[in-house]
Amino acid sequence: MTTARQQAGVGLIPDAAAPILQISGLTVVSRDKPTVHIVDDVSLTLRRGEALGIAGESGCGKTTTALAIMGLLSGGLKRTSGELTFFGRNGTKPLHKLSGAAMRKVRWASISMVFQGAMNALDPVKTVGAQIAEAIVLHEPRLSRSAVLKRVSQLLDQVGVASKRSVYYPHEFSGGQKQRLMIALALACRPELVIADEPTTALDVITQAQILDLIGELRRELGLSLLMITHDLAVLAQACEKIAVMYAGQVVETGRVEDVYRFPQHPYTARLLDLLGADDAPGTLPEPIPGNQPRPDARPVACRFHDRCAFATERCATEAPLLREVSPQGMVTDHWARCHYSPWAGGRVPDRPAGTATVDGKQEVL
Amino acid sequence: MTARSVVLRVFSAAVTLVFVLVFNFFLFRAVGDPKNDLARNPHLSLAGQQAVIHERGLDQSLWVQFYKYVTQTLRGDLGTSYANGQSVLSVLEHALPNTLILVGIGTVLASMIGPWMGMVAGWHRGKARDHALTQGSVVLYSMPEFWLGMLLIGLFAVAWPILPTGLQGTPGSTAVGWDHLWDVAKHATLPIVTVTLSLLAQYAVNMRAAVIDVLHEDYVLTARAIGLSPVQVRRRHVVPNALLPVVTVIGLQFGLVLGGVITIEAVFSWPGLGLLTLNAIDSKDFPVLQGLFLLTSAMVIVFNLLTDLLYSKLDPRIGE
Amino acid sequence: MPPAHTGGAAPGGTAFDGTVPGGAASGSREADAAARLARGVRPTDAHLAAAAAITQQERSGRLARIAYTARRIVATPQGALGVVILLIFVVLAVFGHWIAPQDPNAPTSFSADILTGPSGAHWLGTDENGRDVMSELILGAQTSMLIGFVAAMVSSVIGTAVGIVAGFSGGWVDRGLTLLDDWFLVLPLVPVTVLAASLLGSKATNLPLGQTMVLIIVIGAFGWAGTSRIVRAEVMSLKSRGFVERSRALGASHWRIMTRDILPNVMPLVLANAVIYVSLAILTESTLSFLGLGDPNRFSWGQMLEHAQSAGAMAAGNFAYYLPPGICITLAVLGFSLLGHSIEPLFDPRLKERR
Repeated sequence: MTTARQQAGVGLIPDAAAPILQISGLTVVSRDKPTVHIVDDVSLTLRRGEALGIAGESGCGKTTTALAIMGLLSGGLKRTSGELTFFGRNGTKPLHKLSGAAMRKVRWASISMVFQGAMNALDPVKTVGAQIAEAIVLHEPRLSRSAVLKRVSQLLDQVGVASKRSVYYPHEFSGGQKQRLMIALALACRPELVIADEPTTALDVITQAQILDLIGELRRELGLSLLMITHDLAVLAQACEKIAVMYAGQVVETGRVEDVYRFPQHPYTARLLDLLGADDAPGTLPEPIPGNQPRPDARPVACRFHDRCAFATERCATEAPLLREVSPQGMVTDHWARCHYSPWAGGRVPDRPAGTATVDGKQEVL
Repeated sequence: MTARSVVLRVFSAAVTLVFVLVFNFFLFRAVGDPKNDLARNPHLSLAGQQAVIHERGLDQSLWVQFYKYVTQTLRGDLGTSYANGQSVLSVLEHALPNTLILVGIGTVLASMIGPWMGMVAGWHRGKARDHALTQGSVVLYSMPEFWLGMLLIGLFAVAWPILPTGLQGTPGSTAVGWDHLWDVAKHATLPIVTVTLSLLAQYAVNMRAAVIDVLHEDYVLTARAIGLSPVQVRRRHVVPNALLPVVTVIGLQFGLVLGGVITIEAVFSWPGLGLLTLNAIDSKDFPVLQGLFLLTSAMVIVFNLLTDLLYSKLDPRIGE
Repeated sequence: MPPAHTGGAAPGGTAFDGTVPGGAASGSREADAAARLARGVRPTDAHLAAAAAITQQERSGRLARIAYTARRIVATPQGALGVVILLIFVVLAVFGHWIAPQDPNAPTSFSADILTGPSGAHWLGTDENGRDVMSELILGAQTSMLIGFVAAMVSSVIGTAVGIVAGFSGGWVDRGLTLLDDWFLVLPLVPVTVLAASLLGSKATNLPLGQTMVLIIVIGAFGWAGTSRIVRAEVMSLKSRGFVERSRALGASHWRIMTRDILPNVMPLVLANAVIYVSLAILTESTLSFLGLGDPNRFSWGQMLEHAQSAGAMAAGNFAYYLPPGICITLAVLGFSLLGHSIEPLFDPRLKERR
């Protein structure tokens, strides 16, 4: 694990680095039903050069969070509150206050994105070179034609696609190659921050590993900051220093990957990690988390996970927990969780509730 | 598209054309022996009838007639009109340009306006503009085109008489040069507008559906993400992709419209293929009808082929 | 759509999306056939009777499904509008003779007051023979509905038959029928129907309904290609899901498989298509009638427009004569296509996401 992570560029960044993106209190609602919070009061900080992974089941609001940062929310969604501050090389920009035109200048020049499902993320009737060139020309209009073409072939080289293939159309590339092209496109205007939404989801395991290596390599070379969105905790562990777990629109746990993976402080995180372990040991498939994530318009006022939680008590069903800093090992490690019962006795969420006794025990902790 | 697949398409179009040629002959024999129609003509004596039948080769066996039909057609001889003794080819040559003016200009106008309407509707889907354009298109699509022509005559030639109607120019007009052209243009306006209106609704509806499909595509999000303005996204990525299926519809329609303007030509007394068809049917002028069917079917086949070839040029995914 | 609604919707199977053949019974039938094959037993009449009993059960479930479908159709504004328009014209078609203020065929209806404008006696004025335009308009509904429905039925039957045979047989039969199908699809509909109607016209006197029957035959005979293409595709997909093999294992004949197994499954698709085709048939009928190929013994909107045109109603500004028939044609065509297009997505899951 360690070597893989080092290769992916993890662990290179000192904790004290300055932030590059600060999200505070981000709330996104459905335009038709403003009481339905798709993303609910999400606050996160990404430091320069750092990789932060946002994890969670589909529908938890992680992609919406990314699109909100990019100012690309679809017509049905609206950001109602929250601040998005980008500390770029060319000064600090409050993204939440920027006009559409100003935001278009920031997009791709400073913050770019690798999209989910790169299969269709490229225009089928334009050559891939033309599409990368389009982004460069848009943001650096004074660049000469030959300089643009040179940049395009450099980018293709960088992501491991033969530069002579820039005149090919997207359908002439394999899935993994398309993902590389998408990364080349994301790097076209030399951004400081790249948001990658499920960059490896549709790929086979080998290609997945290659793409993760590529991302790590590029991070090292270009000093990029990365916000990775994934449902796959294995991928996240390989590529990121920090993790934020989202559930039903909220961040339920966040911290350094080592801390969260070893000492999960939210039962949801713990269950996700159980499921992850199952992949390595076939035959001992643990049962999936019972029930479903509550729909955005039917979320309990209490802890949103309580009806699926093996440790839920009456308090969980009535009182909404806050995101609190926890120090499971007695150390301050910037580890936060949204659970009434964290930090858990024994340093982490136990494997199974041992009947009523444990529930009582939990109450003793309080 | 490879040379091989081009050859294949052309070949299959040629096969269809041969099929049309054969079908054309038997269709007319299947619906009735032309001899019977002559037999009913009270103005001809029995001997006169026999003479006509012999002159037209109708007394020969079906296969001899078929052989002659095929060999003549391949030589470019479509026979002689029963009605006026002119060669069918020259009759068609006379009428075709008139229809091409209507259909050509009408199609060009409709394929500029219709897809634009569909694009606006699709881009603003669910909004008032969309509802107005879509519902308007659907109603327009439901109107019989000859009634549309009558409405336009009622409006612009009678109630507010700004345009002439009927025929392809003022009868007895001796104007030449630009004046003649101006006269013809004025007379052509209402029929062309009718053709345009009867076509554009379908193009608009198709384009709207295509735009809505394309707007769901990931590459549109990519286009917005790289910082293109909405207008740029629309022009550079949405329209080129959405036009693809619409181009097919327009191309396929063009061949069909040639035969479909019958009623419009009837309403406006426009001397094109449609009016010729009606007259030929009236006078049971089989050689002309055969020629007309061969011509319109060939047009459909040729335009299908051209559309295929054009489409494979526009969409790089086709023809691998 | 509340989920409870959907739950009660499709008793006896999920045939709603038109994709699950045979409903709930198919599983047991398959097991049955397999067991029988394993024992080397040939299916007897008793087995086929049992299968028929299952079909009977499905049929009662089908009624519930039809009721449910009807509710879904009127739930959309387009569908509701289509139903309203259709009902109005059907009522006019059936009761037109009683509703119409005048019988335009009666000799007393002719008068010297020709081409008058709207008045108290004649709401839409009179035609070139002094007859009541309103009455002709009302009677015209009958012609449109009759020809529209029957011609759509004819082409649906032909199209379904050709499609099933082509899809079921495969091979050369399929290739030949597909070629024929392609040919009919590119046939310029108006000239061909005009020609056919005029050529058949001489035989009209021998037919029941006369020239009306000619129109039905012509419109029906040239409109099946779209249906057969859709049906063929559906049959191919049914075949690929192996339930034809299942019936074959039961010892069913080709005819039986085509009529008992395939036909009920393509039926919803055919119906939706037929409704849309009614609108096209009405449009074609009006076109043919406008070109003088209509039934001289009946009133039809297209024919009225032809009379209006040749009587110079437009030049005379007699809009009450030439506007209403066109409006009626437009409404009828609109109504059926709205209805058809709101039925379509209920049966074709691929269309659900559209629009």
